[in-house]
Amino acid sequence: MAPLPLEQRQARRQLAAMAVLMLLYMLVLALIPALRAVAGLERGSTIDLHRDEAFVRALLEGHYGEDPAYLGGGMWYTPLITWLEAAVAWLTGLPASQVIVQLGPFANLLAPISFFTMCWYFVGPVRAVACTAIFLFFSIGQEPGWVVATYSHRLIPVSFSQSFFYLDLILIDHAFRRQRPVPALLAGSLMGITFLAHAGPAIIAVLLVAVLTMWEVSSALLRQDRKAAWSNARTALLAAAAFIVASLPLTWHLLTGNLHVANRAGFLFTYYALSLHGINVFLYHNLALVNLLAAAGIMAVWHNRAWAGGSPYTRKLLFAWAALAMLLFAYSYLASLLQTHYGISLPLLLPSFHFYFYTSAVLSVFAGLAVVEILKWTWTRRGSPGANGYRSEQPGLVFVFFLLVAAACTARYPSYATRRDIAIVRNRDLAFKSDTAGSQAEQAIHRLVPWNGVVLCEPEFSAWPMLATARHVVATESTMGNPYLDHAQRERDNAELLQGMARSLPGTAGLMGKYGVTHLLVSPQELARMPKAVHWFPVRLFQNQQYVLLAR
Amino acid sequence: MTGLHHTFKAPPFKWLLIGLVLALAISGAGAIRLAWPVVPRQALVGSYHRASPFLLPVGGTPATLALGADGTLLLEGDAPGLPFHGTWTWDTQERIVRTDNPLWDRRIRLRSTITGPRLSMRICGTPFSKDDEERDEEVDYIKTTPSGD
Repeated sequence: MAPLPLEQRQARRQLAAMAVLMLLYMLVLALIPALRAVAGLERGSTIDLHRDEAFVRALLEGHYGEDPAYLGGGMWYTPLITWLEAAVAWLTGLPASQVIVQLGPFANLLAPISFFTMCWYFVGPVRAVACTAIFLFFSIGQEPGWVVATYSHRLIPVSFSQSFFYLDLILIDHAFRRQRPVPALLAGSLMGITFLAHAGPAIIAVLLVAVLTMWEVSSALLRQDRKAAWSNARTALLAAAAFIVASLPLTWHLLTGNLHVANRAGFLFTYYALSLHGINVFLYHNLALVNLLAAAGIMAVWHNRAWAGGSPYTRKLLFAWAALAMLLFAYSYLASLLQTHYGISLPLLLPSFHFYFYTSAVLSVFAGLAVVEILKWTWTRRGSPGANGYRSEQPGLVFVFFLLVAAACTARYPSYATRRDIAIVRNRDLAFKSDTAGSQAEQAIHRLVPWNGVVLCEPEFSAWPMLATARHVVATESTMGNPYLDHAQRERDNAELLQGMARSLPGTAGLMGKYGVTHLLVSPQELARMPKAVHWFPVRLFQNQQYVLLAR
Repeated sequence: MTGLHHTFKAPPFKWLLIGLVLALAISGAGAIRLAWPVVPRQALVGSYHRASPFLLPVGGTPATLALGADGTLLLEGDAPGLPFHGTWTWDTQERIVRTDNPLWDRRIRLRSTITGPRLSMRICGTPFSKDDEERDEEVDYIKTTPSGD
């Protein structure tokens, strides 16, 4: 390939400099409300953060690969985020809960950075700025941050793991273009790491490779080009091998355990606005200009007008990404409906909102492309001198375009910065912070109950304060429990054991032994209704106005 | 390095870059100022009626609310728990209305828009601590009397 003329190279560098400046501007704007949202917090109220805290504590106490909620259970949740949190907790000496809540605004910056990088790679720096502005400030509206792909201040796996998916797309494209072993191995390795971060993006990335492979192999075979067919198939096989190796820190634990899904509650969770019952709420949030722009972007890309460079796989990848995310969402929702209403059990992947999340991400790309196309069209229609010689790479034009993007971000910002995902979540965190009795109990349980202990508790205590302690229970919150253990049976046994504290029951001793119960956590009011509790748990370890912890 | 040097020092682009930095600084400062204007308690005092958002069910929220200058809070409508007479305080830092009734405490807040701050109420009455699904849709309240009346 002949090198570009100096003038053109210079113009590209100038564009790149301005685009990076725009990214920095948008990142700073996004970071400020995120920092305000976590200011002064030592723990988040979100149940997912309690679950992650338990895994971090288990790791720091030397129990990697073990389930912190169920004694004898294996690892079941994707561990990458807890590695990061554990490393920071270990390095700083801060409590895991504080690390989790304070690290979020910074760690999650990786998402817009990798989204911007991905867009730049596929559609160039100018469009990448438009797409990232949509991704950051316009796609979220007033929905929860765990439903829509955007930057979030909460370090929950769904928000953090998207970063890896956007980088996956670059490496997948690179692997198929180069058809060499090293790019294929790199793509597979990053997909494996993505799986360690979260299954959702990894499932879509793996299916994207499968779709591209089928497409390319069948096209090559139709052309009777066996060499190209084998080359594509080899790329996919190498990527698959690298995926398996890179994901071993999790898959090893899964494959050496019992993979039968006995607890489907977590998979069946449906975001209320993504159900037929909540269709009006869904429409309320989504009948928005940004989605109209996304539709226009889809049309523009479909007609192949939105392109200036990019990869030959760009269109295929974008459309396959959108189609797969929507299909997986539809399937997951259907499976949830069939299970909930008709008892029909289909294989489950993840809760449906995870795939809606990636649908919204690709819609941000399409909406950003539409913005650029509309402005280009407007410019060329002006008929002003030089309009015929329009070139999207002219720094002066790009300067004006970036000013427009900045003005749009400014206009949007008040609503964005005080959106519910920031303000109400902080409000909830502050309400949670005022629960000092719960915090005292959580610290006492972690200090007084050994790792091998098992706490019998009321169901409402299993999420808070128990879940964050990394101490075992008989039954935890179903959506936060190990999917490979029979949760329903545990709930029944938990209820029977609690009844056994109120009156003598023949099965109590057997169940105590079955689960290895060592402690009891109840409210003082409940304990007053449990005359048999002192027989089983004679030692009072801790008490405040809301909680009593007893030991055998 | 020479190429990069020329790229950034080339006179027209140098001024373009400086112009962009200045524009972004002004734009960013404006955005932040619009997002968190200081709203004193007195500015909230007044009577409000509920907006009618398209498609969003708002059952369970008061049709009207009044934030009295003397600290009284009056919520009226057909929903359970209404009418409600209580007291309110304004958390300037968090921009939320606090009351001593757990059902209404922290439910009313000020959110910013490009046209100015708006009072809004979380529709779902489920207590924060029992709402893992985060049903946090809100409805706006429109002021019907001037501040301080």
